[in-house]
Amino acid sequence: MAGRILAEIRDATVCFNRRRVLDAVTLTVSTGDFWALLGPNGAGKSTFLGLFNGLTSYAAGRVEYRGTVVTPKTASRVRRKIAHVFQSTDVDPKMPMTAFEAVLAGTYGKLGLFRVPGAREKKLAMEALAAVGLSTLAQRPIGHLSGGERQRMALARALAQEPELLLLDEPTASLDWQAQREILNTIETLRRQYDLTVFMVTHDLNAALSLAEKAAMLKQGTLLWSGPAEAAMNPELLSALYDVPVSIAACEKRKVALF
Amino acid sequence: MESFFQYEFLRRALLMAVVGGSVCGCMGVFVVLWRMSLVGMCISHAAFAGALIGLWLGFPPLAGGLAASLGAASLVGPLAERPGFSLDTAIGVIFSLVMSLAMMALGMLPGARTEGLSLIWGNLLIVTVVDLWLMGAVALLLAVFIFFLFKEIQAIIGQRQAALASGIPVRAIYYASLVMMGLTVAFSLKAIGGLLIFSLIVTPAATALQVTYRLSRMFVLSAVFGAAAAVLGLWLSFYFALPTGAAIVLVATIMLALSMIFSPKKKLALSD
Repeated sequence: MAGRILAEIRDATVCFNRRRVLDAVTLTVSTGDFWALLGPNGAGKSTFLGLFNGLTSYAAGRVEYRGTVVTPKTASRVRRKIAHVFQSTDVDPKMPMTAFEAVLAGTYGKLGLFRVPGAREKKLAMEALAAVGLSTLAQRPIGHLSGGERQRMALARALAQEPELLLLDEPTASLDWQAQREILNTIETLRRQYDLTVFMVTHDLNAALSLAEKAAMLKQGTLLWSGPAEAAMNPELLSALYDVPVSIAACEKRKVALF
Repeated sequence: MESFFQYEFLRRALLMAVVGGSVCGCMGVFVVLWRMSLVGMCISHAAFAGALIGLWLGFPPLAGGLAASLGAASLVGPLAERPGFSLDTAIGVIFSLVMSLAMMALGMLPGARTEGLSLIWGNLLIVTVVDLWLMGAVALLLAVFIFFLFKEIQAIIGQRQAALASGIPVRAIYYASLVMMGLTVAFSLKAIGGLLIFSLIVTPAATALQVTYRLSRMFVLSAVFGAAAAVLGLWLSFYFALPTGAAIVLVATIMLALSMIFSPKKKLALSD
């Protein structure tokens, strides 16, 4: 059953200097949706993701979140309801911050300036760490976490924000296979446990389309296709998206893309 | 030590060393953890050029330094945020420009240029009561800034994009910190000197980073290390007739080297 409309992007065009990075893209996200956004490098996927919370400014069109038009003025209000997990980056091992402090920081946007985190915020942070399986590493400096642990910590920080919409920007990039599998399983579990709406940018076709219910394909700033994830497993569609021949094989009752 | 305290100007210098060293040390935490070294270096040298130009044009050097450092902060800040912009190249150009302006102003100064030269090397021994009050005001302002925005400062460390995306006013806090940096540099210029001030900002914070995993402790330790380097440097310059600014920076660098050798984090990193 389709949920209520949560976010709506209508004919949004984004320009960096004079270059059109996104060209009149339109997409609607409803509550409970799990979207996967696919596309080659430079297609504008991360830029697209930033439209939801105003990290990306649009030159034309309209972006709404729960009926509020997302503009630089309303962005900070909208951002308190949307969590954004970025690609994992290297952290200085000497960084003076523990995993718990990093996750607690997820509550600060909603808490507002000049207010000290209390028992509620600390409980939220500990619960979020437990949900991603990092309770035992709460007091570990963030620079001492592995890439996979750091990405799970980023998910915990997002959860501590108590979001309605979870934006994931290539959450498995530069992780080994085991860490990738762990992150994707965690995302799926958290989504069900916390009743989250998820919008994920990824290069991992097979994982994305096995988890997501809906898919969108972005190529050179244009939305090439959007629809049910199952229908996205189409060799012609994927070949056109990536400009390489892609075939679909059946493996243990599920479809996998090969190139 | 008794002879050290019997002079009024030395007592003032000592007080300035403690307050100025602490302020510079605290400011360094932002520079080190928010990776603002290039921006900070640019602002501090702009203050130096501004003070010399002020002196040349007949304005108080403090006013020139303050105007230039705040001007540089408002110019370099937006540049640092532009996507795809090569910041290091831009800073390199701006840095060369402000240094050439400083040297030009110095060259144009009439007479013995004593005051101009003291802005290069700094001289704690010429600090006045007004300088002390001004530095005290900056110290208070910085303490209030850190105390009230501590959780936001922490949230931005290493997770700037995530902090921005969660609704924290990252940009406003970043610009406020640049203004704080401009004030710190401008008011320390006379005592520490334009060429060396940035070292006193970065080195104590880098030293503190070697010994703690807590941000609150890092602020305290940076202030303590900054003050200790300034006091020790002052003492060395008094007894061995060394340029004060250079002595302070050498002491701060030795402290950093020692902290790197004996850092408890080294053992932890090896055992991980």
